[in-house]
This record gives sequence, C-alpha cells and structure tokens, in this order.
Amino acid sequence: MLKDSTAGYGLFTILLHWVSALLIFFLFGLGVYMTGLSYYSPWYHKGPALHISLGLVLLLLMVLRILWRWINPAPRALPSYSRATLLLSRLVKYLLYGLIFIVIISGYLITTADGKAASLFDVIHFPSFIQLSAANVDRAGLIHELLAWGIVIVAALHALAALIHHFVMRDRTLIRMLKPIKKLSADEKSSTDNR
Amino acid sequence: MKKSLAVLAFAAAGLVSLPALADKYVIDTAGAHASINFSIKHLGYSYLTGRFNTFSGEFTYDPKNLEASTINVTIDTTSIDSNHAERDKHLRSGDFLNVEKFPKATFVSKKIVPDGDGEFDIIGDLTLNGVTKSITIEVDKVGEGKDPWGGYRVGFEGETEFALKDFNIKQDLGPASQTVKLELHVEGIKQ
Repeated sequence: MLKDSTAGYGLFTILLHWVSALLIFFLFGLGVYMTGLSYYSPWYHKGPALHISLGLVLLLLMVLRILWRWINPAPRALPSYSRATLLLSRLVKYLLYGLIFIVIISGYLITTADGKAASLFDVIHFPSFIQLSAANVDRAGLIHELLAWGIVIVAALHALAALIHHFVMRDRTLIRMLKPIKKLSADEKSSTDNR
Repeated sequence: MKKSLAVLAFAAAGLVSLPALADKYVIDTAGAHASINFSIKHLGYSYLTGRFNTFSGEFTYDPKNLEASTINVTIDTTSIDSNHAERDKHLRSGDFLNVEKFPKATFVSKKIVPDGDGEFDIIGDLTLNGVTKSITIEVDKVGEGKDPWGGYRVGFEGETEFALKDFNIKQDLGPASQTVKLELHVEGIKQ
C-alpha cells in the first residue's frame, strides 16, 4: 500500500506528488504576490519569510522523493504507451526535476548571499555556503523568476497530458497517481517488461 | 649683452605670467582611505546606513585659492552595501537605483564657496539614476601633510542631503524617509 511496485505507485509516492504540486503552485503564487507589495504592506516581510520556509520544505521533500524513488522499484510503463509517449514523459519528468532544483537553489543563493542562514520556520537553519556577488545575486534572481514560470508552464502541460491520457486515450495513467496499488496479483507480476 | 638681457627678460616675463596650478590629487580608493556613506530614516524610528563600496575620483586643491579647486567622482551604483543581501538586491532594482540601466553615478564640481574657518561648500552636478541635478556639499578639511611612504595627502569630510524624488527614485518609503543624507570621507594622494 505504501511502497511502489512495478505495477504502480504506492501511497507515499502519490502523497509526495500532490503535496509537492500544491507547494509548488502556492510558492509560485506567493512569489508573484510578494514581489508586487509596497514597503508598507503587512506582508512585505512575512511574504518572503514564508516563501523561503516553504521553499526549504520543498527542498527536503524533493530530496526525500529522490531517495524514495531510489529504494523503490519503478512502476512499469503501460503497455499502450507509444515510443513518443515514453520519450516525452521521461523528458518532462527530468525537466521538472531539473527546473525545480535550479529554482530552489537559486532562491537559496539569493537569501544566503550575505552570509546569513536560510530559515525554515526558524526551526532549521540552512547555512550559507556561497556568498554571491551583487551581479550574481541579480542573475540568480532572474533565473529564479524565469525558471519558476517554466515550471508552471511545464506542469500545466504535464497536467494536460494526464487529462488527455484519462479522457481521450482512456488509460490508467492518471488513476495510477490517484489510487495507490494494493498487493500485486499473480498475472501482474508475470507481465512482460514494456521498456 | 643686450640680446642675452632680452632673452632673460622674456624668460622672466614668461615665468611670471604662468598661472599658479592647483595640485592634483587622486582619491585613495586603492588603500580604501575614502568612503561614501548614506543614511536615511527607517519608518521614522532609526537611521538605516550603508555605503557604496566601489568608486573613484580625483580633485585639484589649492589652499591659497580654494575657489579654483575642483573634484569629480564616479560611483559604481551596483556596489551599494547596506549589510543585507535582499535589501541590497531591492536597492539595485528598478524600484530604487535601477543599476542595470544606470550602473554609474557621478559628481562634478562647478563652484567652490569658502565658508570661513577652512570650511567650504562645493556646488556641483550629481547624476544619479540618470537624472542630473545641482547639489551642495558642505566640506571641512581634516588635515594634510606628508605620509611615511613618500607621498603627500590631504583629507576632507563632507555632508549633503537630497530628496529621493529629485532623482526620480520611485519607491516611496514614507513621510519620514523622503531625503537621504550622504556622509563623505575623502583622502587624496598628491600626484
């Protein structure tokens, strides 16, 4: 129920997926909102502090996700997937992972540029490792903003694809990320590897 | 005899008619014996201070003829440093200094007005955020003399204040923070 298998995703992976998705969209919205605030807005300081804390939570979840993926068997691709689907889904997956890590790291480098630690709700403090110069902080900011938009666009396409799989192709793609697999049945175990 | 006398007379006349040149000094930024500091009220509750770490300049100085002295300074606006990474990033942005468009600020003196007691006012053009306006810096000489390494130095402290809006700085920081004060410390090495 909790772990993944070759037949599908377990509950833990499914929860990680949706919690991350929620976090990412909230972080994006908060980022857009907070950078438009005036100095006198009550959220002028609270906004960035929350943004940084949640960004660090996302970092921990992403690390956890990679570790979890590593120790679990990967679900097999559905036999109905074309080569294009296999290629595209893998591309999007790595793109999302890459974009998310770059956005998180660029954000972390901005806030730790003067040597002060990044605070996760004042409970965990991530120390400063690299103190970027002024010009590089500004570059990091540009990367952070542009790639964040990239994540949102790619994620939207990712969601659209899931809906196409569900409503047009009518396969189990979306269901697999909603319903955790139970115990593997005998014939599921013996089905041939499609990859 | 007459010819050499004439030559001597001409030479003497030439020497006498030479104008007295003020000494040229370079601001000692190499040794960081100069600083450009700013302070502005924060919400009306305290003074927020910072500085521009990178700048260069030179001046001419003639203690016997202060009015003939001149100074010009170029400031790298991206070097603003208020000891806070996110604040400095915000200050460099379009909300404040817009350093991408205006990476340099300059001051060029136009007139010196002695104030008595060795103090004087420098009236000159400050170009900041792409806007050029006349400002007045109140200056006091701190001291001058030989240094232990073969040079000759003179140092000043100066103060000026201006409104952010005068230089098109868009962000409004509230009624207590409309003006910013600059505190300048300058030591020059005679060239």
